[in-house]
Amino acid sequence: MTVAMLTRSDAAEDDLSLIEAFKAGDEAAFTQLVKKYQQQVFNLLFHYAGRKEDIEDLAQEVFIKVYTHLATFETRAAFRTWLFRIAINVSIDHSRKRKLRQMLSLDGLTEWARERVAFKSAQMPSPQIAAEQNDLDQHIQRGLEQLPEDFRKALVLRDMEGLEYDEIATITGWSLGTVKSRLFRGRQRLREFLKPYVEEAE
Amino acid sequence: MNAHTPSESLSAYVDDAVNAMERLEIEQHLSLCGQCKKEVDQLVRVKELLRPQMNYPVPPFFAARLTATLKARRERNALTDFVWIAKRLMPGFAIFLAVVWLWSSSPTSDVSSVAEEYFASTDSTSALALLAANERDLTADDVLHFAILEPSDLE
Repeated sequence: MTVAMLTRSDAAEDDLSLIEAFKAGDEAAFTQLVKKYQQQVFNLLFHYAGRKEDIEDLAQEVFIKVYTHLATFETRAAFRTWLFRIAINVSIDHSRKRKLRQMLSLDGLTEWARERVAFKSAQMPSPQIAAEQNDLDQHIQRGLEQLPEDFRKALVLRDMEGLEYDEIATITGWSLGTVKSRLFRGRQRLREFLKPYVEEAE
Repeated sequence: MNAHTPSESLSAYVDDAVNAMERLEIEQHLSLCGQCKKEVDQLVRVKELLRPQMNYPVPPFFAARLTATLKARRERNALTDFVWIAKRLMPGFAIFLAVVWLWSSSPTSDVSSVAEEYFASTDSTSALALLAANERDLTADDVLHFAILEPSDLE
């Protein structure tokens, strides 16, 4: 058993205790679950759905769904994968409603991508570093956007959120082989798209 | 040199998602094959490019606002549930009231009122004589009347 698996196992036991407490009527246990996972949910929503002005609404929607269905949650499943599946589904619904794919602007960068780039630039320590990072970020965003939805989902869950293959399989409903294949094909396409940046490092 | 390692396996290798035997085979191959080594380096670079450099800032008091939202929804739901139940019970309740009203207003035999009417309308000393005068069959109400009459009235 790896260290990562042990950590996941401990976290799952903590979750189980909180869920049982919530089912017994302890509302504070739900708040603890929210505080424990809010950072991961915000990151996932930002990486997957973008549009930072909507993120808090989306996060609220995610946790309200969790609250509504937690009483019937089967504790055999891992809470984190269940939570992430809800977050992914909320993101997909949101994207469909927004029709992000039809919102291409003149420079080929969607509003979603522009906001992500602007947000990242704002976090940079200096304008110069921000400007240097800007081109790369725009390329990465364009690269992610041109990927088929399933490839993007695989890459976001694995490379941005750091989930294990079995967790991705549970969240998406894919087999482990499909997870492996989609990750590879997504990376292959992204590698072609980001060729100058990938080869520059060699 | 062995055949090249399938690229899909190299992708799993950079994720540390291969078993010990596969890992050994891949690493042995990589030590001899520059092409596969280059592919691994590029896959690692793609992963690095995607790795987030920072957390998205969670808005302050997010959990507190969420808790308040949930509380408001619970209260709204409780009211909605009450209205929902009331709407569904209303027709049944109306039917119940109608039945009660019809039952109470129907001409049923009210023994006490019939008896009072009887005593008020006659000073006869013989109920039997009254019945005979009425020239009709005994009814259930008549039987009750006799049951409550003073014995002296029957003499």
